[in-house]
Amino acid sequence: MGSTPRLSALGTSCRRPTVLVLPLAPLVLLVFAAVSAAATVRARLDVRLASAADAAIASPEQLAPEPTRLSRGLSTLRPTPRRVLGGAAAVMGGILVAASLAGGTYAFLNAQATTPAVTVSSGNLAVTVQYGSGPAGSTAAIPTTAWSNMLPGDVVGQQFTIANTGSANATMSARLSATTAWDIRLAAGTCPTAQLTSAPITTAAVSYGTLLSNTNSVICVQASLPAGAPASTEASSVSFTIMIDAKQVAP
Amino acid sequence: MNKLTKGAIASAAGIVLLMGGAGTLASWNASATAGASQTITAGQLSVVSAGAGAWKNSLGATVTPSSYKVVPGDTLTYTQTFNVTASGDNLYFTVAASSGALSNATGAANAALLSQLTNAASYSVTGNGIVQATSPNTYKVGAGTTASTIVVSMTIAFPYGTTVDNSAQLGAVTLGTGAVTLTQTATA
Repeated sequence: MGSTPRLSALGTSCRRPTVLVLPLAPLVLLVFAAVSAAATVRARLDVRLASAADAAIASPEQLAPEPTRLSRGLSTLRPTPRRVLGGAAAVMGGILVAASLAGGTYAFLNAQATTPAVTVSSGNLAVTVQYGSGPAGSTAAIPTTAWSNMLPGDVVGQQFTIANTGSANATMSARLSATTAWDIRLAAGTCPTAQLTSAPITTAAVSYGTLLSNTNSVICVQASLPAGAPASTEASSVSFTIMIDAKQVAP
Repeated sequence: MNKLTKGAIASAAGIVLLMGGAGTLASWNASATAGASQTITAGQLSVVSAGAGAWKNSLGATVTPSSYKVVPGDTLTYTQTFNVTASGDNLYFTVAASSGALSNATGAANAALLSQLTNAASYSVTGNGIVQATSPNTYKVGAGTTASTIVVSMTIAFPYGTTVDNSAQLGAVTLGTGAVTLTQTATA
């Protein structure tokens, strides 16, 4: 039976708090309300004290609390004009760097295609003259026997070949390098037995036709001693030079 | 007041404090969706060659420049077609055709020929895929469905003069690459 008192004692100790707490709950609430009300009053008092200090225009030294380690540490973070400007500059710099890094983000559309390169070459214009079966060149000498023992009224023709060796078509013309008493006529084609109907050539160039590029044509040069030639031409000799001009024509 | 009573008071105060601090801070919130999910698609602007072009002389005959000999009075014209792909409801772009530059190697005939040649480039637009906008040389995407092409013409002219000048005979010059460029603009 020695254990019974312990049991009853335990039972008592367990029951008593339960009985006490329930009536105490409203009391705890009251205490909490009183504490919170006191805190409110204290806060109000603080505000009033601060206002009173401002109104008293106390010196900054009086108002300034004794610097503590925390306040000294906080003072390094306190915004001063220099710190504000420095901070703003740092922010602007950062924006500029970000903008420069983002350069070219905004763009517009563009498209291009190319044409190939090419080389353009110019042509040329060149003519050669050839007497009979002789060599073709820039000059052709006519042998002295071609026109000899000519009498007034005689007409003798000689054949030449004019070639256009250039790449351009040309208008052909002929002229004498100097005037002469002889009647010199020139025409395209083989020489007829009769005198050419074209006008005698003079020192002024007269066109006798066109010559396409890389083609040639036969011309006839006729020399005659006019029937009314003066006596001074008897037993005389003259030399003459015929200039053949080729003038390029536009394509 | 024994320890149990004090402990009960403290526990109750703690519970009340905890209950007082839980859920008392709140704000109102409301949201509604605006519109539906949309997919935004970008437009396109491209120009590509439709094939090799062709050179023609002033008589309209097709020529090969590498073997062709120009003479005064000649005009060589190069024509090449380009396909345009343009989309964008608010897309405006300029079209420009540029001729390549003429250059010559050393040599009197080459220099003389270069001095007597002129070059130019032009273009024309066909099809209603793109249509003329308000500003000159400015185009926009057309309402039609016919694909548009740009025909670029480049000309090299060897003018026929009034005096004799044989210095440019058998010369050669090089015409660089030309281009057709489409550049988007902000204005119509």
